[in-house]
Amino acid sequence: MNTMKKSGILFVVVMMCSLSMAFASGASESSGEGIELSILSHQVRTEVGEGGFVTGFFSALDEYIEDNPEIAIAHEGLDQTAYQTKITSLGAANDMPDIFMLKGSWVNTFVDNGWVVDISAELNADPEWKNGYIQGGFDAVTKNGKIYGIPQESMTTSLVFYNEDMWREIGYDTFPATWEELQNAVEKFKAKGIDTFAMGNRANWPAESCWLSTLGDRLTGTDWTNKIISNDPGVKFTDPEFVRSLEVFQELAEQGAFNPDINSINELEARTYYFNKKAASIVEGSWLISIIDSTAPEDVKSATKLAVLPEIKEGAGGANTASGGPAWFLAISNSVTGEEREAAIELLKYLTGPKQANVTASSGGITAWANPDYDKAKVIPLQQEYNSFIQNVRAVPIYDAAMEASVIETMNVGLQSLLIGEKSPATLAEEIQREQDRIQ
Amino acid sequence: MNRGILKFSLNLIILLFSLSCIFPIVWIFYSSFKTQSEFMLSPLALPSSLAFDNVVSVIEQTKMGLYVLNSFRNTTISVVFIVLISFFTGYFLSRFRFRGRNFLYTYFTLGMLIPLHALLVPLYIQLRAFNAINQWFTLLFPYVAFGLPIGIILVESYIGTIPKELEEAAFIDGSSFTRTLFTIVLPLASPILATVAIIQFFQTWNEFAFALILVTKEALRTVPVGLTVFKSAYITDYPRLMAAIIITMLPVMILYFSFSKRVMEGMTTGAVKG
Amino acid sequence: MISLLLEQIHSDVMKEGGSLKNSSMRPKLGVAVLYLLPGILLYTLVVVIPIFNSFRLSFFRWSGGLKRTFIGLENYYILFQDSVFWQSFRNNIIITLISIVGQIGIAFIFSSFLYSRMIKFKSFHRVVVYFPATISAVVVGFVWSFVFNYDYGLINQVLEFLNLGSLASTWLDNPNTIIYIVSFPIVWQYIGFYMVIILSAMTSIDKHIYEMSEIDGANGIQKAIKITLPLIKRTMGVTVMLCIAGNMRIFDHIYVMTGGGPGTSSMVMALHVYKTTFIKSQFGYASAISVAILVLSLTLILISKLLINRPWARAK
Repeated sequence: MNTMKKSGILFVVVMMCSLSMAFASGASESSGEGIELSILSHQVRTEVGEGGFVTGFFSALDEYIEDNPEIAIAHEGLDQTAYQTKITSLGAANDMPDIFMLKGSWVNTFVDNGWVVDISAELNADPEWKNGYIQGGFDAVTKNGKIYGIPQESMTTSLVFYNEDMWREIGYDTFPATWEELQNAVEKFKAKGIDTFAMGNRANWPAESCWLSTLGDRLTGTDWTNKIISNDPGVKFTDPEFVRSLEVFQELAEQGAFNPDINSINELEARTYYFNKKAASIVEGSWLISIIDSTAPEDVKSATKLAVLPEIKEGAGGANTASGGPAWFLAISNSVTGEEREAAIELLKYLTGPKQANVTASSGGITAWANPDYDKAKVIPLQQEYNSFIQNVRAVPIYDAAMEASVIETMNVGLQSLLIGEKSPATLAEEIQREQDRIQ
Repeated sequence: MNRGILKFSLNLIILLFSLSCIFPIVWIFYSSFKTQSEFMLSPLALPSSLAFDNVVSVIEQTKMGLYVLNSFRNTTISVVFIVLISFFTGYFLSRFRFRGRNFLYTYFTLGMLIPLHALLVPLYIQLRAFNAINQWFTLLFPYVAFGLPIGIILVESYIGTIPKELEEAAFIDGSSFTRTLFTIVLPLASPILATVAIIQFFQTWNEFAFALILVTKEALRTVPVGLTVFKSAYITDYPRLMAAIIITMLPVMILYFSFSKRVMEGMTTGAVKG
Repeated sequence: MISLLLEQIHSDVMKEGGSLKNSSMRPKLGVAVLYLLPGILLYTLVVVIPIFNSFRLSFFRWSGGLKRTFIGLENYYILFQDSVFWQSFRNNIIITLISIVGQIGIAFIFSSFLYSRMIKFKSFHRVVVYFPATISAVVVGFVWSFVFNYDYGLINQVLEFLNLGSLASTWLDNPNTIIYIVSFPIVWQYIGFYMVIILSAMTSIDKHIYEMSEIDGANGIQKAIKITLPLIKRTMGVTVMLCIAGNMRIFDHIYVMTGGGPGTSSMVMALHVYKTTFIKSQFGYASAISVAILVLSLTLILISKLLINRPWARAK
């Protein structure tokens, strides 16, 4: 390569470096005086228009920026796993962003570490704001009577989406109402070489969040679940009712109700099984509604109906229940100084209140704000079906939105082994209880 | 006859391997032309049409270009420092016996024995004390420092194979240490320095953890962190992600190809030993 | 004839690192410091001090907040009994051993191929083999998950095509074989990496030696094993060291392909550190695991150096 080319390339390299340094130093200049609020969340601008809540979030954020030109807002959006890594690191380094997203299962750790601040005072001073949220919306973020966050979405994590046509072919007009009927159906589908359910448990939370949260509650009753969440020493994971729920789950898997590669595929690939009609149903959350609408083949889309998991007669937890509620909350961190606090609270109101909720609801999201104002007729059919369907379903706690994060981790990892017969229900229950004991 | 079969099989083996090396890039390339549903229904199939929508969408709606500039800046500056410092340190460790030489060598290997996640928080706290977080030069610190172990080890080992006669001859001729280092040793060491440069270029370009934690401003974001924008809560937009991967790999590949000829020459011409 | 030649070369190379005997060639202390200090300073600040802090942290219980409790060696005591840690260690060892044979072994073989007259398209191969190392581990893991996929993956499709459909399996779901399966992409990705290092080491071998050995009737394999290998022994030692270091702290591939699953069957130590830090918020314990990784890696490297150099067997 001759000298001309070499110097040419060198020139380009130097140019690019200086260019990017120019960009970067422009970014390093501080915005001077005035209030600066930093937000870290897992909403990313490129997703706007694709999902309800993201659209609403950015619409509200932009509105706030417009209404408050003297306040500088620095927003960083990351995907959920990267978000978790970053927020934990920033917390440990004591450099939290001013406003961030808090998961229900992190509350104990974040409160104990002093990373999140109590906003009960501001909430109680504005009853119109506080009471605008659904009932029980603050449960997961309330500790010792103090409220630490504001709910955003309220989702159902355990919805059965089933292909009406495929079920009719084996003689079921609607999704089975009892567990026994379900087990019979599994046999019929097996004979046809079809998976009754598609499951993609690579990320290890679907089995627990979409299935076990409901299944467990059906057998233990909600009272037990709430006691576990509040670390009541009177209940344990080793209690027979919970162990039984693990057994029921394992039996269903052993019976052959699922695709053989449950632990190696993610939710997307599981949905592909459902879209390809290799599976007759899939159990996911309400987020799947808009995804089906935009990506499912027409015949599957029109044949999809909703249901909840069948009744388990021996269980104490009732029949028509599904795990649901708010999982993520917006919160203020210990980085917020005195003068910033008012601005931060105001921003919180924008991001979680009607300004966000109205936009979210009209884009198909389900908000924790109880009565968003939107054109109900414009909503997609499956969403409308969900809205009426969910009226008759009682919501039970989502395990990973309320229980301790490290307990959930043990549960999720162990469930993968349980479902392929590598771990017994009793052993798993013991492991989970050990983790629960450890964090006391 | 035997020799013919041998020749065929050997060529086949390495050909299959080389093809497997390009396959991922080819796959990512043609997948970027699919729509999401098309991709999910059959990930490995060829696209039905050459739709550039994804590429356009990535360019218009994301800041990939900015991310590429940032990655480029971080990487090139880091590589220059890594190569220089590795060269000096590797040379000293190889040529001179001094007290603490073995200690220094082991000292530098520590950096490649510890998982980086353990050091994220300690390093963050340290850099923040100097107000060095979230600046254009923030990532240069870990990128250069963690690139040194491999660089130093490779250079040290290579210098050992260069006969010292040439340096001794230069010294006898009255050349200063620095002059000998740069005019005699540097050219002889260029194959390994090119190797270190290539290795560290890509290691640094693809680095994720530090880029995620130490930098927050979007104006400073690098490519690996930038690629996560295609992964939302419940769905990953694979085709657009792949379009972005192709776009971000393009400048890198162009650079690699323009320098690879030079590097290949370095890899095959043996220095004639006197 | 070959052996005479080799003896000569051996004795040359075996001289300790070709160090300069003439001590007056050494630069003045000031000059040496100027060259070495910046690097040492930066490295100490950015790498060593955090490692030291991490080490210190391993004696505490810390969940990230303001409260840090000193608990002495308790973390290490728990570590000793942590079955997931030892399972991870076993997995790391398996990956490392497979990589030494796969990455370095195959890299050496292919490098030798590229010197053989029998191989065509040499330039193509040389440029292309490094490609996988340029892709991030995340993308590699991602691509290979599609290869091993049960439903539409390349492997099962090819088996179907060859009428061996019965062999098609859920490759990534079997906890007994998963660790061997995930070794595939790891080995594949870095063959080119080691080839580049080995090839650049091979440049320092005088071509005349090969020519002379051919006159004596040596074939390709003999040339590779008897001439090349001994002459690049130092480099091979270095590659083994890099391989051990890299595989003992492997993270991205496993994280993307299996997340450590199913269950904990493909868990590796670095992933254990990650989960312990960022999901369980146990910073102190995670530091203890990291220290253990460092110590274990150092030990393995030392063992490998002893096995390669065999100082007790060499006649001085």
